[in-house]
Amino acid sequence: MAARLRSPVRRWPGVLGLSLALLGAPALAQTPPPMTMPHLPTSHGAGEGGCRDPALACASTVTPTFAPDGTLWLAFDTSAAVFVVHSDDLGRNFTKPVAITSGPVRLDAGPDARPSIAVDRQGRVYVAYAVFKDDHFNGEVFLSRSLDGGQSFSPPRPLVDNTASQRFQTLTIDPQGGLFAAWLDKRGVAAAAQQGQKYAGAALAYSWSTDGGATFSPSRVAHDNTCECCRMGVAFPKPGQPAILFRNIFDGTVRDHAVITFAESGLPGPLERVSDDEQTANACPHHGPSLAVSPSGAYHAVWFTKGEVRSGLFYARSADGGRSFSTPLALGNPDHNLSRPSVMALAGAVWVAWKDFDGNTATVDVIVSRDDGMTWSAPRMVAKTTDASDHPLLVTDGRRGYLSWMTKADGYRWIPLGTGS
Amino acid sequence: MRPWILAVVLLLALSGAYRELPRTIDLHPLSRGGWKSLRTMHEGQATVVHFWGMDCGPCLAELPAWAAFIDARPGLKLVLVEADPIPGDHDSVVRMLTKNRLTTAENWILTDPVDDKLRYEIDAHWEGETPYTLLIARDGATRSVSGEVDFAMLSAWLDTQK
Repeated sequence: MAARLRSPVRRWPGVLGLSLALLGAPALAQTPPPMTMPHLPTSHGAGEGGCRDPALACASTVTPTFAPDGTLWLAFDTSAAVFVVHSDDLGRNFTKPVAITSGPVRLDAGPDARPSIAVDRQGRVYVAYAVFKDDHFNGEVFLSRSLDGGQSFSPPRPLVDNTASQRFQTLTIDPQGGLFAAWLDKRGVAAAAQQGQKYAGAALAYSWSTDGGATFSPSRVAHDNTCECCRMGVAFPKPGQPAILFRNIFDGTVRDHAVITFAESGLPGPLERVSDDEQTANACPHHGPSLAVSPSGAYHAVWFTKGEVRSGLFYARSADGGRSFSTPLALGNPDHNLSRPSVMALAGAVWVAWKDFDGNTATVDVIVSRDDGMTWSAPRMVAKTTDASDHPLLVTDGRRGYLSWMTKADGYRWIPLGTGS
Repeated sequence: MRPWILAVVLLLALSGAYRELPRTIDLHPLSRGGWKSLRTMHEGQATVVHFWGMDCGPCLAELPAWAAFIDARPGLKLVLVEADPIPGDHDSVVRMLTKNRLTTAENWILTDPVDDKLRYEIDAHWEGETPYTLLIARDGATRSVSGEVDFAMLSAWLDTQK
C-alpha cells in the first residue's frame, strides 16, 4: 500500500514542474513586467524627492502676492497639497502653514501651473489651484477663501460653472475691488467635435466676483484657440478693465503672443498681436508670458519664443493701451538656457528677471528701467543655485520690489531688490 | 488519469488563460544621468530620438505619422521618449503607443520631472517643449527640431546617413 501511494505523489511535482516550465518559458523570454508609476505626481518645481513635510522648505512652487496693507502672502504646494503662509515683516518671518486642501489631491503639476493667491482691500484671501480629474490631463480649478485674515480657509469648491477641462487659472484683484478670475478652458473642444471638427488649443475664459468670492458671474470666453499649456499674465491698466497677455494660436499654427484689454463695456476688446515671432512649430512649450502695467498706463510684456524670426526671451512695451508694441528687445545670454521671464512695475521703475541655466548653475538675472521701459540697465545676477528650481517671480507692494524664488538646493529665497529708482 | 495526460490538459487549460493576459511592450525608464547611456547605446548609428507627451495635443496628433514613417523605412532606428513635464502614467503610455502602432520603436519614458538639469543633459537648448526631435548623425553630430517634424526633410536626412 505504502509503495503504491508513494509513486503517484513522487510524479506530481514532475508533472506540475514540466507544465509550468512549458508555460513559463515564453514568459521568461519576455521582458520583466513594467514598473508601475505612482499615481500622485512627483513635485514639478523645486521640492522633488524626499521632502514632503507641510513646510515652505519642501515647496514645489511658491507664488507671492502683497496685500494692500503691505502683508506678504505666499501660496505654495508640496506634492499633493496647497498651503498658505504670510509675513508681517516683509518676508523676514512667516506664519505656520495653513492647509487649503484636506487630504492628498492630484495637483496639476505641469511646469507652468501653480496655485494662485490674491488679497483684497478687506483682507479677504483667495486661493485657487487646479487638479487633474482624469488620466487625460483634463483639469478642474478649485477656489478657497479666508475671511479671518488667513487663520482658516473655506473648503475648496469648483470655481467654474462648466465641467470642461480648466487649467492655468489666475486671480487678480481689480483696483475697484472685485475679484477677476481667468483660466484656459476646453469647453470648445466638445462643441467642435459635435460638428465633426477639431478645436485647436483652449479658450481664454473668465469670471468676476463682486461679493468677496461668495458668488461668481457666469463664465464667458474671451477668445478661442489659445495655446493650451501656457500660463497667462493679467494686469489692470484701468479699474474694471483687465489686460490679459497670453500665447495665442494664429491661423491654426502660429503660437505668438497677443493681448486682450477689456473695454469700458466690461467686454473683452479686440485681440492685438504683440510681435511676429513666427513660432510655427506646433509644439507645447509649457512656457507662458508675464505682464505688468506701470502707473503711466504703459504695458510691459515679457515672453519666451522659439520663432523663426526670433528665438529666446523678449521684452516689449505698449504706450497706447496694448494696441501696438515696440520692437522686441532680446533678454539674456543666448548661449545659455534661458527661461521664465517675469516683469513688475513700481512707482519709479520697471524690473525684468529671468532664469539662466548653464548646465550646472541656475542664476536669476535682472534688469531695471527708470524711464518706463524705454532704456534698460545691464543685467545683474541677484541669486543662484545648483540643481532644480521653480520660476523666479518678481513681486511688488507698489514701492519696493522683491524676487521670490524656490530652489531645491537652497530652499526658499526672498530677495529685496529695492525701489530701482 | 496518467500524469502525462494531466500535464497536457493542464498545459492546454493554462495556455488558454495565458493568452488572455495583457500584452506589454518594452518601455524603458529614463531618468537623470541616463541620457549618456542612451546615446552610447546608439553610437555610430544614425538615430532619430523623438520626444512626445500624453499632455501634448500636437504630439498625439502626430503619432500616426510616426507609425507611417516606420512602415515606410524598415531598418529605421527610431527612439521614442515619452516626456511629460511630470512623469507619465505607464499604462496610459503603453495603451497610446499600442493604439498608434508604435510598439516596434524603441520606447522610453522619462521617470524624473523635466527640470532644468534633465533638459540640459538631453539638449542644452531644449526648453521642454514637445514634440521635439533630435537627429543624431552617425558621427554624433546632433540637430534638433522643435514642434512637428517635416517627414520629407527627415527622410532626406536619413538618406545622407546611409
